[in-house]
Formats: sequence, structure tokens, C-alpha cells
Amino acid sequence: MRKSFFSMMKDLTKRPYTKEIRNYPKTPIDKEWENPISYARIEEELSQSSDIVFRKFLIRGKEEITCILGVVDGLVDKNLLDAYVLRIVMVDATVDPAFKEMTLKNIINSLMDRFTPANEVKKITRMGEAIDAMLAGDAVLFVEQSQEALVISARGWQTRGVNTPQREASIRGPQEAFNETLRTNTSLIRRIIKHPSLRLISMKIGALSNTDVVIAYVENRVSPDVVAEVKRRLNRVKIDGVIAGDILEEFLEDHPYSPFPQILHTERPDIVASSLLEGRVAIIVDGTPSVLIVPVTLPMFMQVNDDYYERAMIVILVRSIRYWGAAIAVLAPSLYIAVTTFHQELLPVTLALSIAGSREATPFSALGEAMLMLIALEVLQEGGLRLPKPIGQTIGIVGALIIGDAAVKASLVSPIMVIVIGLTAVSGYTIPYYSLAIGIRLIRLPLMILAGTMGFFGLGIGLYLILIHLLGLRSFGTPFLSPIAPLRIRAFLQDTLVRAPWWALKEDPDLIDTKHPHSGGRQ
Amino acid sequence: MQRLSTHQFTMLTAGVLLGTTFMVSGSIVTQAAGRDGWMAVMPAFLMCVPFTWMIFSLVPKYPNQDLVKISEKVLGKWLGKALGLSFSLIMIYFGGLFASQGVDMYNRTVLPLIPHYVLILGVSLITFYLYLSGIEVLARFAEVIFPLVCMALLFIAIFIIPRFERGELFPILQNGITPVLSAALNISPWPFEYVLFLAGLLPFLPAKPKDLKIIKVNFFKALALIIVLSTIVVLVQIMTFGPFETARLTYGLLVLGNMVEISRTIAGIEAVFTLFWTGALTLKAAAFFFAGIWGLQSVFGFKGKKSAIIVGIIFVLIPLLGGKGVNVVVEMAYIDRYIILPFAVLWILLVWGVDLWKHRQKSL
Repeated sequence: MRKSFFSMMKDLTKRPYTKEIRNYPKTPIDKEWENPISYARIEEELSQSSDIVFRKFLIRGKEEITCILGVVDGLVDKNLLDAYVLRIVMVDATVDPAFKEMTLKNIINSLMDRFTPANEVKKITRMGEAIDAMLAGDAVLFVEQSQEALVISARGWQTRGVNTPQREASIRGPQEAFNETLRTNTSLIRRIIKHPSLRLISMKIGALSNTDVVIAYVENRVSPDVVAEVKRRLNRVKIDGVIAGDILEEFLEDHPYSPFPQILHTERPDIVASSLLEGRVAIIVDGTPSVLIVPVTLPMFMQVNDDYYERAMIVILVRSIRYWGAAIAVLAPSLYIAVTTFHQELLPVTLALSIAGSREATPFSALGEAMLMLIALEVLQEGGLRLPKPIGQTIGIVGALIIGDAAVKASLVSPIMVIVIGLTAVSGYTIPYYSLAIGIRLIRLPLMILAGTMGFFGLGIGLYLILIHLLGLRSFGTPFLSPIAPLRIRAFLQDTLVRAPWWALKEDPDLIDTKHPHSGGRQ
Repeated sequence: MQRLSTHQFTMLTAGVLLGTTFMVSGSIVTQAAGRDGWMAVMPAFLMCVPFTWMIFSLVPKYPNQDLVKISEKVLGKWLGKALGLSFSLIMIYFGGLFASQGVDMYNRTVLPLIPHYVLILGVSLITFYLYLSGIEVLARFAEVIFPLVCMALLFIAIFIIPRFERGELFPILQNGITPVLSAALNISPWPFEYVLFLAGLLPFLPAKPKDLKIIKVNFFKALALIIVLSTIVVLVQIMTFGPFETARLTYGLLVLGNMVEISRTIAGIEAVFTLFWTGALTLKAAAFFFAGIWGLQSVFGFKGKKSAIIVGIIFVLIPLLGGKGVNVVVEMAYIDRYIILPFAVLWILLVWGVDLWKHRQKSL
């Protein structure tokens, strides 16, 4: 039955992690998932795919036993399988007296204990386990007429190496970035935190993709409530496939309709490691070259790793530039519109006359001009983003120089407006994280409209609505504006707008109360 | 239930105590006490201390209850409900007038051409959003806004120093202490507006017994801060305009803001301060709105957002259909003097006194 409009709207307003997302019809093999292993059934189901290979061979023990090695071509290391599985059971071990004692009953145990020198071998009994293992890249050794099988770890596929970060460049920090392989990513974190308290909890998400997901945290640093909440929300996610970890963001965040990101993505292992040490949780998803970090606060989105590698005095300057940049990116067009439309008395006479002179020939109001330029800017940004680099640069030049210049010459916009919008665009690039920068782009337009219709009063209304929204936001229960509001005075003074020198930090200046993440602030 | 931290309580107290009193304080106190008007601020604000002490003394005996529910227990159901209903009506009506006065301030100064109702709807929008976000968000809002308002006031005070005429303050107490006390009496209802808000805020205060001690201390800190700030604001106006002009200017601070000049780059930044004054205005308007709804919830047992929406519509209609301009300021002064002050004093004294009497009866 089709849902009514109202029930659809009700669904939309439900928190995503509080409901089961979808129900999938089960295929025949899904129904046999818990059944005992039947090689014939598995072959029937999987052999229709060209990349799945079954290699049959005979083992002559006390009796003649047919074995089958099942693998997915491209996901296994063939050399390893040839050398440590097939060659041994077909050639080297055949002279061993114990080999000759093998029967259908004891073959699985004998092979696992004596004749499979791989570092990870496991006996399995259920259909689902066998299929999961094969599709994940392990080799599965079946024995005809037996309901047991061996999973031999022989994963080996083509991967991208550990490259330098593309989106989060660093001047003094490490130059390693995550790649698409889960185990490489976990190893990059483990290399930094060499302590048993680093926990890596695995789970699978995606009805068809069976994507491996790892929850990482440091025991005793993190609030158990937050870990439990992360697990609960991940367990609720029911989708076909997790193509990239970023898909999970919308399922996990507290306020999916907010323009502000409540989960941090990073491609840098050093940022993940420092976040874990601060008591946060990392979510690592196979096939994704970035890691999700929760809970987060707004100041985290204004910090970069170089802030902690550079000297404190320099960081004060750089961070303040970043905050000013963000303020300009949000406010510059709105302030210009409000001042030129409603509050000309703020300007000295010469400047007021200069602005009036430059706007004399333009047919639009300040709001109209700003909207025109901002829309052009957004179009150019979006157009240039996904083009190949050389063409992208050309688009930038065409946009900034040719269109801007032509618009001024045609008296469509005033030169000062071009400066204001240009400054706004450049300032937006000082925001380190794209997800926050794009959120700011989203709120700029309504602010301009409010400033153009009600001056500073309208701008104030818009800013206060945003402030109240930010004050009400939470990331996994942690207030998003912490440590500003609720005030955590030490963190606010030591690592928010400025960073205190390392030697002055007697304790880590945690931006969140990791022991009581839901608390209202300083008690 | 949402709980405030002690720091949030302090900021909320300071924010609600201050409100936008700094706008009109200079005019009101100098009308009564002339150049000695600045001395009236401290006694006026200190008048609320015994009553807050009485309220705090009831908290351990009636945990997680506001003064309306405490009244029902102490004074009986019907008298308690009647007092609670009166409390709610006063808070909602005064809150609406307060929003109207703020809007009048904008209409008369920086935004004379924007229609009255547009400005009212703007302020009401923020107020409702604050209400829907909850008391914890209001407290966080105060944590952000109150320091900004303080900075803006100090900024004006510092940049207006070149225009000071120190001679305007002398001779001190030329007409004796009586005009100062009269001026203090004129503004004494202001802290009682906060006292009434506190009466509704009680269930949201930190629950631990040790926190009550901190809260009492923090209340005094906030009160001292507001007394100092308000005194500075009045002093600055008297020294800049002289007592006669200060008494004449209803919104003297806005004129001061217009006189601030930074080099030759920015002049008359009155409009910029509008951003901060809007924050102070909505903080206090929201506090009244919260208190009004808490009262109704306690009296009638309302829950959910439907009742809040109805109250919200009434809250908007009050400034929309009510008077404008000086009439609002005059009406507010009357309500302050003849309703809020006597109601707060009588209600708190009655509840506290009867409770004390009952406890003594029990112990005998």
C-alpha cells in the first residue's frame, strides 16, 4: 500500500538510527545460511559467476577423498595457495605416514593441524560461513561428502599503496594517508598507538556488500556510553551496500537535517590517533580512504594537525586567521548588503561616496548584485570541482577574470561587490574541512536575504537562529559548541581559539568531557 | 529532565538580571536623582537578595519543584493554583510588552522604516526557537550572549571616554539621600523580574546539595557583576550628556553608541551594537516566555508543544495589538511597579512564611 504524504513526512522526521531502514526479500541461499555445509549446493549457487573458481583434487589417504579448493579469482594470493596448500597436499605431504592415515572422518582435523602451514586456518560447519569467507577473499577447502570445511586465509588483491594525503595537506606533520584497505588503515593507527588498550571491534554492514567495519577506541579514555551508542547506531543500519564509509554518516549523525557536519572525516592516521587518545571513537570502513570520528565539536572542524606540530605562538596567529576567514566567509556579503542598504551612517563620508559612485550605474540593489555574483561563484566552484585539473584551472581563470571583469564593464555589478565576493570565496578556503565549508555556503544565502530586507536586525535574527541551532546540536550526545557553550574553561583557554604551548598543558585539553559526554558543562 | 550546571545558572542569572535594563536605566534614575542617579543601582538590585534567599531556602525541602507547586503544597491547592496562574499571566504579558519595547527601540533609532510587526515577528521567532530548544539551550545561549553584551557595553564606555565631563558628577549628594532612594525604588522591580523567573527555574537547577551552596555564591557574583555594569552604564551617560540630557534621552545608550568613533574608518556604530542588544532582548523575552509556560504547566499539568503554541500566539499578539512607542515604556513601568514588585514580594513572603510556620508547628 502506498504511504500517505503525512506518513512519509513522519518517516522523514524520524531519527534514522531509531528504525530499521529496509526489509529485503530473501534469496534461496539466504534461507540456507545456517544449514550444514553442502559443497554441491555452494557450487550450484556460486559457479554461475565467472570469477569464482573451484579446484578439485584427490587425496589418497586410507581412502580416496575428493577435495575442492574454492576461491574468488583476484581476491586471493595464488602463489601463496599454490605453495602452501596445493603443493603440500598434492605433492610434499603424500610421503608422510600420517597423510596415508587420513579418512573422510579425520581429514579436516588432520589438514588443519598438520598439512596446512598458513598462519590463519579455521574449521567451519555452516553454509553462510563458507560463502562469506570465499567472498571476503579467503580460500575455502571443501571435502566432498563432508559437512565441514577449512577457511585458509590467503587474501591478496591489488591495492593502492599508502600515499600522501590529498585533501588534508600538512607542512610539518606525517605524510601518510589512509587507503581503501581496511587492514592497512588499522595498521597505520596501530603503528601510532602501540598499547593493548587500543580496541578494534569488527562488524559487518550491508545486506549484499557485507562490508567490514571496525570501531576503534582506547579503553579507559573513552566513555563506554559513547562506544555503546556507536555500536547501537551501526547495528541499526540496514542497507544493501556500504559503497563508502561516508554513506554511514547520515545514518549515524544526531541531526541529519542540520547544515553542519556532526561527524569528522579524515584521511590522516595522526588525526585519528590523536582523536582516539582524546577519548573519541573512530569508525573505519573497508573500501574507504577516510575514517569517521565521533563525537566531534565545532572547534575541531577549525583545527588542523599542523596546529599541534607548529610552535604555539605561530598557531595563535594561524588559527585566528582561520576563524576570521570563517567569519568573513559567512558574513562579508551580508554585512556589505546591510551597510549599503540600511546603515550608510556607519561609513565615513568619503567611503560612502566612493561606494555610491561605483554603484551608480548598476541596475540591481546590493542584494541583487550579491546574489548574482554568489550564484555565479557557486556555479564556477561546482563546475570546476570535478573537471580534470588543467581544465578546472581554466574555469577558475575564466570565471574570476573574464566573467567578473565583463560583469563590471557591463555595469551589471559594482567593482566593490566583486571584491567582496572574491574575499568571501577566498576566506571560505581557510576552513580546513570541506563538509563545514559547504555548510557555511548553505547558510550564507539566507543571511544575505535577511540582511537585504531588515539590515543588521535581520542579520542578527539569522545569526541568532544559527547560534541557537548550533547550541542545540549534539554529536553522539556531546554538545556541538563545547567547550564554548557549555563552557569547559580549560579546554576553551588552552585549545579552542588559541593553543597553549605543549609544556603548559598539564593534561590533554579535551574539547569534550569524555567521562561525562552528555554533561551540561563545568559543574 | 534537563539540568543546568552552576556556571550556566550564573550566566543565565546575569543575562536575565541585565536584560536590556542598560538601555533605559540612565534615563529613569537620573529623572529621580539627577547626577546622583548612579548610586541608585546598587540598593535597587540588592533589594531582591532576601527574596532569592527565601526561594533558595525552600529548594532542599521541595526538590525538583517550582514555586507554583511549592505554593500548592504550602498554601493549599486552590490558592497555589491561583498564584501560579497569576504568575504565568504576568510573565507572558510582561514578556510580550518587553519584546514590544525592544522593537520600539529599533524603530526609533536604527530601523525607522521597517514595519513594527516584522520586527516583532523576528524577535518572537528567536524566542520560540529558544523555547523549543529547551532550557539547556537557553542557558548556553546566555553563556555566549552575556559576555558579548558585557564586552559591547565596556567597548562603548571605553571609546566614549574622550567625551567625559567629570564635572557633571559633582557635587555629590547635593539634594541628600532621598532622591537616590526614590530612584532606587523606581528601578527596584527589575531584579524582581528575575526573582519571578527563578521561581520557575528551580526544578532545572543542579540537584546535588553541594551545588546549592555554589549556586547561592554564584548568584551573588552575578548580582555584583550586574550592579557594577549598570552603574558604569549610568555613570558614563551622566558624564557624557550631563544629568538633564540623560534624563531626557529614553535610550541614551543608543545615542552613546552613535557617538563612538574609531579613527576615521568607522563612525556611529550604533547599528552594529543592534546585533548584541537583540541577543540581550531575546534572552530576557525568552526567559519570561519559559517562566509563563512553566507556570501554566504546573497549574494545569500541560505537557507537549501544543499548549506552548497557543501561549506563543498570545505572546505575539500582545506586542502586535498593544501600544507602541513611549506608551509601552510607561505601561511596563506601571506593571513593574504595581504588579511585579508587590506580587513577587507577597508571593514569596507568603510561601516562605507559611512554610516556616508549618515546620515550626510540626517541630513543637
